[in-house]
Formats: sequence, C-alpha cells, structure tokens
Amino acid sequence: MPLSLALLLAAVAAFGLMWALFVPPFETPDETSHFAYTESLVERQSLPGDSHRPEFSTAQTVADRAADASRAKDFLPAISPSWSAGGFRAYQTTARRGLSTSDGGGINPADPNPPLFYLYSAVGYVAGSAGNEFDRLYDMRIWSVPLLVITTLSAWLLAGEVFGRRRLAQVVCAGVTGLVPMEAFISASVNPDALLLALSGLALWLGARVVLRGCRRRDAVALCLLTAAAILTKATGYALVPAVLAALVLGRRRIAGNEREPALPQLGLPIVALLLPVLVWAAITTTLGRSLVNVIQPSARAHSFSVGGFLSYLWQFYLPPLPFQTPLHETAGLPVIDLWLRGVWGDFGWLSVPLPGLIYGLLTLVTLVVAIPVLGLLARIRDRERLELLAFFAIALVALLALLHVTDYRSLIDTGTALVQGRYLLPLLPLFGLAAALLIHRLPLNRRGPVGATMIAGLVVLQIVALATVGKAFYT
Amino acid sequence: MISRRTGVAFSVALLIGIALLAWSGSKYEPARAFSLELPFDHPSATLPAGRRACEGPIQSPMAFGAVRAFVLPAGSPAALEIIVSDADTGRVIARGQTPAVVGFSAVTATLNAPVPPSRRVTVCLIGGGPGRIVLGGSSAAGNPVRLRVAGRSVPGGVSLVMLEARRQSFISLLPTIINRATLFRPGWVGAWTFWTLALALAGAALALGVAVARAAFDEELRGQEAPSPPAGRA
Repeated sequence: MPLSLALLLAAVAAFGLMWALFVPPFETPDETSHFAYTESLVERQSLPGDSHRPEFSTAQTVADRAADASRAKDFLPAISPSWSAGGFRAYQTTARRGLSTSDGGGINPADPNPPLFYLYSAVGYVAGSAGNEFDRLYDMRIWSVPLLVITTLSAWLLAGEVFGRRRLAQVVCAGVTGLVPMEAFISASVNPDALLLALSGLALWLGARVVLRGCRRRDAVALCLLTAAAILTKATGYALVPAVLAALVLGRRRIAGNEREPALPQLGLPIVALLLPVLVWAAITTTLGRSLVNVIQPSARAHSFSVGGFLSYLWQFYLPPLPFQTPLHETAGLPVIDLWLRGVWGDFGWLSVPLPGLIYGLLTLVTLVVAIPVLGLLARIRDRERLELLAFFAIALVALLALLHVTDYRSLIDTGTALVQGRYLLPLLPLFGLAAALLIHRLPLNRRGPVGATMIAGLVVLQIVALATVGKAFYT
Repeated sequence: MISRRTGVAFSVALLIGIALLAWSGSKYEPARAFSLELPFDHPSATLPAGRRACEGPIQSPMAFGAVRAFVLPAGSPAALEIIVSDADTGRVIARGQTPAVVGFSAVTATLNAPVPPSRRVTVCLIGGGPGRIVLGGSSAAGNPVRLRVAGRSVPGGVSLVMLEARRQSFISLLPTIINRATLFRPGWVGAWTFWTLALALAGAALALGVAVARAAFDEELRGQEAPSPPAGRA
C-alpha cells in the first residue's frame, strides 16, 4: 500500500473515531430509529414495523430519557442534555437490573429501509451486548468507522482510475472525501447512509473503470453487485442504476469488435447480479406486506403533481422566486445554499447544530473557487474517452438530483414539509474530490503540492471547528 | 524541492488555522447556567410594546447574569425588556434589554446585576416594541413554573435559558466539555479516551502533512510531464 494512502486512511480513521465517541448518544439524524431497527433484528430476529408493539424497547427508552436525547434533539438551545454524573450512575444501576431489549420493534420511520446496513450494524450491536444500550450504540458507531475508511479508499481508487497513479491527485480526492466534516459525522453514526456512501464511492470507481477500460465481465459483475447492495441499503441507491447501465453500454463499446463478446453473455450476468438481489428483496417485502421503498403519506390538503409546479419548485430551489411564482419557502434562504451547501459541508446533531455563519461563507467561496474553474476545464474537453467518462459522472449526478427533487416536491405538495437534506448528496462527494484533484492537476507543477497541502490543512482545521461546534452546542 | 514547499505550505496553513481557532476559542462568552428545560414548540404569549409576561417562581440553582429567550417578532423588528425580581417580595434584582430582531431568534439580555444562587425569582418579559413579539415556549402540562400574561394565568410556559454572569472562554471549558462527554458512554470511556484521541488527531494532522508531502514528492519524480495525462490506470 502506498505510504500516502496508509497515512491518509489512518488519519481519517482517527477523525472518524473521535466523531463516533464525541457526539452524544442518539444525536445524529434518525439515530434512534436506526438503532431500534438493528435492535429488533438482533433481539427479535424480526424486522421492525409491527403496529402492535412500541417503537422502542424499554432499554432504549430508558437510555434515551436518561440522556435527555430526544428532548434535546429539536430544542438544543433551550434543553440541556443531561450531563449529570449522578444521573448516569442511576441509569447504570437501573440498566444492571435488566431492561428488556426485545419489547420494541414497532412502527419506525426507518422500517421501510432494506436491511443490509442493519445487518452490518448488528455486528457492532452484538459486540456491545454484554453492556447497556450505550455500550451497544457506541460499538455500532465505532463499527461504522471502517465504512468511512472504505469511502475514502474508493475516492483514492477513483482518482487513480481517472488520473493514473498520480499520488497528489489521489491524496487530494480522497482527502476531500474523507475529511469533509459531514461525511465523517454521518459515517461515524448509526445510519444506513454510512454504508451507502461507501458503496456509492466504490460504484463510482468501478463505473469509471468499466467506462475507461471496457466492460470486462468481472468488473461489470462487481459494479452491479455493489449497486444492488446500495439499493438494499437505502432507496437512494436506485439513483445509481442509470449511471451503471450507461457505464456498461459505454464500456462494451470500448472493447474492440473482435474481442467483444455477444451482448447477452457479456451483459447478462452483470444484469442478473443487479436484479436478482433486488427482486428477492422485493419478493420478501411483498410476502411480508411491507413497502419496497419509503412512501410519502399524502395529507388531506395534498395537491396533485404538476410539471409547471415542479419546474417552479426547481427554479426556487436554485434561484430567487420570480414575481409571478408562488413562493415555496422551503428554507429561510435559498435552498441550494441552506440545504445543499450547508448540509454537505456540515450541519450536526439532528441538523440543529450548524457551523458558524462565517464558516459557511468561506465554504461557499471555496466551493465556487473549485467548481467554476473545473466547469470551465470540463467544457473544453473534446477527447471522446473523457467525454464518455464525463457522461457517466453527469448521469450519476443528474439521476440523484432528479430522484431527490421529485421526492422533495412530492413531499412538499403532499405534506407541506420538505424532505431533502444536504447529506443525501454525500454519495457524490468523491466527484467533488475529483474536481478538486483536477484543479490541482492543471496547476503548474511547482504549485500543485503547496495548493493541495493547503486544501488538506484547511480540511483538518475545518474538522476541528466542526468538533468544537458540536462540543459547544451539547456540552456547554 | 516541491515536497519541501508542500510541507511548509501544509504547516503554515495548519498553524494559521489553529492560531485563528485558538483566538476564537479564547474569546469570553457567557456559558449556560441552567434552563427551564422547556422546548420552544408553542407560541406562549404575544406581547405588544409594554405588555408583560411573568414566569415564576424559578428556583435558581446557580447565579446568572443574562437571560435568553426564543422569540419571533410579528411583522416589524421588536425587542424585549427583562426584569428579574424576588418571587416573594417583588423587589427588582436585575434588569436588561435584548436587541430588536427580525425573524425567529434566540435573544439574550445581559442583566445589570447578577442574580445570586438559591433564590426564588420571577422573570418578567416586557414587549420593548416597536413591533409585537411572540415568545416561544411549551404548552406542556406539569410545568412547575407559572406563567402570567398581562396579569392573567396562562397554561404552559416560556422557554428561558439563564446564562452565567462570569464569562468563560471555550478553551477554559474544554475540561468540562470532555468530562461531560464521558457520560452516557460505554464503561471503558473516560476523560483519558478523549485526551488520547486529541493526541491521535494531532498525529493525524502530522500524518496528513507527510502524506501530501510524499505525494508531492512522487509528483516531482514524475518530472515535467504533460499537464493533461491520458486516462490512466490505477
């Protein structure tokens, strides 16, 4: 393993471990539900969602109350999470008497999720099973940290595929991916996004490999298996499918005619690898009477989907409303800033602990400084191979955005509440890392190292700012 | 040469960042003393200029020198005047004023005198105008503190946070933060865990510096290659 990669992965793992242990219990997005899902799988060997049972087990409810976790999550500025040593000792005494961990399993916002992440997370749960709920929760979080390392590794491999063995480009791409605070925060929590990010990163790498090197059967099958695994982790994984299919088609064209196998044997096995696990899960959900994907329940005041309304929503997501448009007010400011930009760089707790406003201003500037020149560079590409690679990445980006925007718009018209969060864009973070690497790569040779070093040092400082922000919000 | 410049750039950028963090973390701010533990999920009272909402008796477990409330001015900017008085005698102990704000805000009034610990006090919030101001609070039953708006008893309560009179820097609070972060954790986690992890993060920063310098060295070894290489193979 290259020294740069080994050092980078070790550093990312250290930050991940700090995030896993430092964030208070159940204070990451939907962590209560994801923990309850895993607990139901391990303790009851059953998926959650039984309407005759409580959502949380007694053990989880007592732990949550002792730490004031659920009360604090929405009103952190006014509610002090419990940091009483006496309260913790009282909890430990109660927990030692034995609290049921198997009386949960009721309807849970996470229960439409497929089980793959929860099966992975169960290893952490079991590792802490001799202790109390906090042992189990933190063991699960620590067990998620390797996923952050895999995501970082996938970005390294992706940059290697795109730029060749250019270590600086690889360090920058992987460093940006692994050190963005939101990525570390989410990956070090109990959340299926942690696995989705790792699988998406690997799929982007293998997809680029298939596009550039041709559709070799082994790569294609691995790519399709990863995509199936992403779908079995979270419904957002479906957004990978158009890009993966495009990669298979482009990769097949890359192979010279005399070496090319007939389409059916060459693409058949990968397609089976993609479809079979998903169809098996679909059959299981049908048998169990569960929904295959998360369903938005419309309210009595739901509006019907209209193309004009959707276009107006899209406009207002990225630009100020025009005088004749009905304002949507999805967020206080422009959603592209409030949701995408802030949410990707860092918004902690249950998205109730933002970074200081000045930092977001700087990060907006950094994002533009990377994105604008890179768009200029991409617009000048004429090489067919590069254009095909770009098409693969563009399809991945557009498919994810389309899925998120259609779902968000449906949620707005059906329930009046927004659904998207910045963290849903994190599966594409390796592409931002790639953009930063491209920028570095196009600099004169003598500037590449110093600029790349400044980027990585900036991310280290940002990690410390983010940890300090969380510490101040929860513990002072 | 490039790898040395890379190492220097990394060290300088990191040191500048850490110096800015240290400067920011050494600024003195009032820390939270205690709160009424009421969420702000409900409009508890609407105060035009001059109308008063009083909440008490509040037993102060520790001294405080500022009061924070969660407000939504209705239409135009609005401020709050806050008066803390003895719940038994009605004698005014301290008073303060928040700045006028627009939109939902957490506003803080610094009091002109600290409120001593172990006192039963009443906190009155008075609309400071010019606009009306909505106070965030909770409608939850069982709140031991009584809320009266314009002299009439109202269910629920206004969400208030009391801040310490003594200002503390973030850096001085680090031991407290670490001690609190050890609670509700696995049994093996103690303050030592976080101090060790802090050291590990320092090592991680060093490792990243070496990683990027080594990568720049590799780049240097490749020499003056074409700026736009062909699609590579990992």
